[in-house]
Parts: sequence; C-alpha cells; structure tokens
Amino acid sequence: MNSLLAVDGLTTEFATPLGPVFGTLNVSFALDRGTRVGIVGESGCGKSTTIRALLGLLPANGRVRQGSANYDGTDLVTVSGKRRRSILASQIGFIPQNPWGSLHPTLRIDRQFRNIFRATDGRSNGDGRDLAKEWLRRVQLPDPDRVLNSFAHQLSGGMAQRVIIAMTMMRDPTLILADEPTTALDSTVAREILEILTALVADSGKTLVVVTHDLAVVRNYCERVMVMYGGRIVEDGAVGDVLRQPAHPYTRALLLALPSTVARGSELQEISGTPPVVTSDGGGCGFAPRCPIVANMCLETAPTLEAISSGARIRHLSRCHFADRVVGS
Amino acid sequence: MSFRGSGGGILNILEARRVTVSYRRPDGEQFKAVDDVSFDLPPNQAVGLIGESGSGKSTVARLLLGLVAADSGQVIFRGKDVRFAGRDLARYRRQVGVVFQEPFESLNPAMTVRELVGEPLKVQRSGRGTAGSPSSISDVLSLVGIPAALSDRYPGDLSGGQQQRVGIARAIVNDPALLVLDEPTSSLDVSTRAQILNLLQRIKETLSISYLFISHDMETVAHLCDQIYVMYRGRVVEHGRVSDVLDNPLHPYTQALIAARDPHGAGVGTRLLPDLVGSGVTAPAGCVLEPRCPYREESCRNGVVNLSDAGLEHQVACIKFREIAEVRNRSSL
Repeated sequence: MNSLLAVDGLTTEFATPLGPVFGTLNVSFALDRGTRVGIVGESGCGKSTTIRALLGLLPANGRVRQGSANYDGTDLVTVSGKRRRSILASQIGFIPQNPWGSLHPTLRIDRQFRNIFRATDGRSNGDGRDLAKEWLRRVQLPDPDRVLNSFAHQLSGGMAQRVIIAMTMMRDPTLILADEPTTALDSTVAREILEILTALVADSGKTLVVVTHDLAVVRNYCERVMVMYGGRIVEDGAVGDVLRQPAHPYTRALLLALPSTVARGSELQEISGTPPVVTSDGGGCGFAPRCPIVANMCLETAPTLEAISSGARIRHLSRCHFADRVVGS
Repeated sequence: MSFRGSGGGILNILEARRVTVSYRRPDGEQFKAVDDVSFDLPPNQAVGLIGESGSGKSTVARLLLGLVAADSGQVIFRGKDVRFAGRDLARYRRQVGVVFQEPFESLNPAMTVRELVGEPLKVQRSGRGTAGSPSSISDVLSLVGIPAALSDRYPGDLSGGQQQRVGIARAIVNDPALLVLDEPTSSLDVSTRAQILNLLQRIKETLSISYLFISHDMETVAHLCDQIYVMYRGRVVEHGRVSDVLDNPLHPYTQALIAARDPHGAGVGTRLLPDLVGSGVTAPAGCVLEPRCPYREESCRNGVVNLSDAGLEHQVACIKFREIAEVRNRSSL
C-alpha cells in the first residue's frame, strides 16, 4: 500500500556462448518506505543482477526479459534513458562494492562533488564546497579539506567508500541500493562504514537495500531479508524470524555451514554440490538437487513463494513445499 | 610453556625467531612489513595468523616459502636454521606445501587435474614418505574428494570448490610436514567454504601435518586452529590458545576484530576503532595501534610495546591491557 518500490515478475537473462542463462527468475517484492532490507545469497544467485536491472546497469549481454519495477509510478524497466537518469540523479542512490570504480580517476574529489552539486541543485549559487565538507564530516572523515583536494587513488578503501556515501547522501535520495558495500574492506573498517551508513539512512528515513553474501551484515544492520538461490527469492521475512527459524532448507543449510554456529573444530554441515547455472525455468524446485529433505513432488512441481503459517511478526515467505516442516525442525 | 619450543621438550616443526622483513617503497624508503615477529609451529597443530590488509601476514607466508628473505632473525626448521639458498632451499621446500587464496589463478589452465597434481611429484621428490601417506595421484585425489572421472578435466571445467580441492591435492602430494594456507577459503561461497574447511580438518588428522593458516576471518581461524597469532602493522599484538584469545581477547585490536563480526553479541561494550584516515606508512614510534586506539594515552607512545605474558600461554602487546579488561568487565555487567 505504501510501498516505495514494487518489483513484479522480474526475469533477466544473459546471452552466453552456451545459450541464454537466467540471472533472475520471476523476482517479486515490494519495499516499504524507511526499511533496511538485505538481499543475501551466494555468487550467481541473482542478488546483484536484481538491483543492477533496477538501475539499468546490466552488462551488455544482459537484458530484462519480463517483469516490471514500479518506483513511485514509474516502471524502471521500460522508462526512457533520460527519465531514468533524472530519477537516478535525484532519487535513487547506488553504493558499489568497489568505490574507486565509481570515482573519476583524474578529477580531484572536490570537482566530483561540484559536478554532483550542479547537476542536482540548479538553484543555488556557489560550488557547494561547504556542503561537501559538511557531508564528509557526517561520514566521519576528519580532514575534509584534504580529502577534497585528493584524487581517488590517494584514498584508502574505507575513505573512498565514505566519499561515495557522502556523495550519495548529499543528493538526498529516497532509496539507496548498495551492492556488497563493504566486501572489499577490512572487517574493522567495514563495521564502521556500515554503522555510519545505517545511522544516516535511519536518521533521514530513507529506504536501504543491501546486497551481500554475508549473513552477519544482514543480522546486524537489516530489518528484513530476502534470500536468493538460483535466480529466485526462496525466503523473505523479518531478519529475526528468518535467521532464528528459517523456513527454507537452503537458508537453514547456509546458517549451519557457518563456523560460528557449531562447536569449534567440530564438523560443519556441508551443502553438497554447487549452485546451479539456471538455463530453464521449468521443472521442479531449483534447490532440489542439493536439498536434504527432497521428495518426489519437489522434482515435479516447482514450489511458489508463500506465507508460512507461523506467528511471524511480518510476512514470512518461503518457496518450499515443506516450509512448515523446516520451521518446526 | 609447551609451545615455546626450546626447553619445552616438544620439537617444533618450525620456529621463527625475531624475524624482520622490509620492502623498499617507490620513494626509496624502507618499510617493515614484518617487524620483530616470533612464532612456533608445533607438530600436528594448526596455528592461525590473523590480520587485515597490511598486517604482514602474507609476507610471513612468503617468508616461510622462501620467496622473500628476512633482514634479520632466523627461521628454524626441525631445529636447523634455514638459509634460503641452493640445495637447502630445495630440500626445505619439499617439506612445505602451500595453498593459495585464488584456486583458479594458481592452476595452469592448460594442464589436466592429473597433470596438475602429478607436477610436484616430478619436480620434487617426496618429502617424508611416512606410513599412511598417499602413494599415488589417485589416492591424493580421492583424499581431497575429487572423483576419478574429473582427473582428465581442466581447471576451467571445475567449480571453485573443486579447483581448491585440486590446489590442496598439489600441496599435499609430496607429503610435506607443514602446509601454509594463505586465505584458502576467502574466495569461496559459504556452502563451499564449509566443504573445504571440513576437508582441511580431515587432512590434518589423516596426515599428521602442521598448518599455518593465514586469514582475515576470525570465525574461520577459530574453527580450524589450536592457537592464534594476531598481527597488526607487521607486529604480533596477541598470541594464545584459540579459546583464550576468542573468549578473553586482551588487545584492543583483537577485541575490535571480534566485535566487527558480532557487534551486538560478543562485541557488546567494545569500542569502535576509527579508520586510520591518511595514516601513511610510517610506523608509529610506540604501540602500533596507538593512533587508532580508543584507550590510548601518552605512555603508549614511549617506545615499542613488546609481547608480555598475560596468562598461561597467552601474551599481549599492550601496556594497558589490565585496565582495559576492567573497563570492559564493568561495561558488560
């Protein structure tokens, strides 16, 4: 009802030498305003593809085959390039994994701030240097003048990612999409960056989507989590519910594969096999070949993403024929 | 102390004694990547070396592999000073296997699995030849869980986990006494990582081998290792049994490493380490963590802080560790 973004049936595919491969399959979700949502999964599960499709940033061999993404009345899939750029400039921020990749290598940081300032704030005079300094202080960079006079390569990874966050926040977007924002950083730095980002987002009531492979990031910084496997969302619910009482065998297996969940040195629960390359959307459940509780019907009928019948605080969805059994175990 | 080597009665597989390794930076300045570091690798133990970028942990790996030489200090292998030259180096290298972080990058894409695993056998002769050691390529492949059907395939045909299994097979095929594992699971997904960690655990038990496990990930080190050295900017800042270091971390850096993964659980009451913005590469005169440390005071700058005993088999390089422990105890009550 009050959703900021409604993604419906998003299917993307990539052309490869071996034929088309699906990136996402029929991905649907709605984002409430002001929430922090994690999309979690392993390499190739479609989590980055989902947000890159929304941003129009699929690689040259990728395309959206089906589906829509309604952002405030505009379909991000079919919108014209010009309109998309205007929405991205003012309303949707993107924080990439590699901050240097998004900073211009031969322009000083102050020039890059100035460019953003001019593009987004046509009315005011001046070059926005004071505003840039203010935002650099808010991301806890102690010497903003020095940062503004630097080139990207002179910044550490943590500093560069703070600059990106400052540039993003300065534009005052409504929605922020972050793709593995701290994966390339050391853990002590990563923690600080996530604390800063989530505090800024919470203070201004923005909506945040964090794509990550790291369940700890989701546990510590998100309210809701969507778990993806083989291009599909397989589980969706409040972080507390999903991590405490997973309703999909894949989520459960992921949690049990973490060293922190078993006694030190004892054997970890393995997930046999490897994640699939999805070349068709037919057949049964995508996780069936690796699933510990697979049954005949799983090979024949693909389960749909449905609410489980437990007393979850918010809707808790699972794509498993035996979701209620998994929750109970 | 049993793992202090000389005098303890147990002959360590390898001991590093006050080793310093420095590199020359482009501006001509010397930079100490490893600074006065000592550690012991006892037989059949997994020793973890944990640290973040720039901590010097990978330089330690390169040192043990004979890829860099120490400026000062000694590396002692089975009681004998290892000089990295000529025949001694070849003899030493036979005893030390290595597994790299990026399995695909470390495998020749034009060689089959069988050729890859057979290559070390051709280049070097077997290290130990102990009973129970795998006697053929197929034995090694089955030990690491590569089905025979894959032995004529190329690395590009394998998944990341299978590639790392081949990397491990290459490292153990000569039956080394010591394996240097340099972030062997960092590039793997969670489900594959569990398989590889279980495999490494199994190999350690089957082959009675010692591990130097280098990682930035506390959870992985805690899972696989018996003891742990925490490195920061080239120096060891804490050392002890895994249970002691994880459950009772004494150095503010170790505390921050643990809290970074679990800020609301084990990390409650741990103060953030501010990112050292623009610190440059000049090492501080006193404690290496001082510029970032939330507990720092004047005296922390008075000269190098060495490891000192803080408990049984537990050492820390912090002059304020007792005070910090008290503050933490109070705040968690």
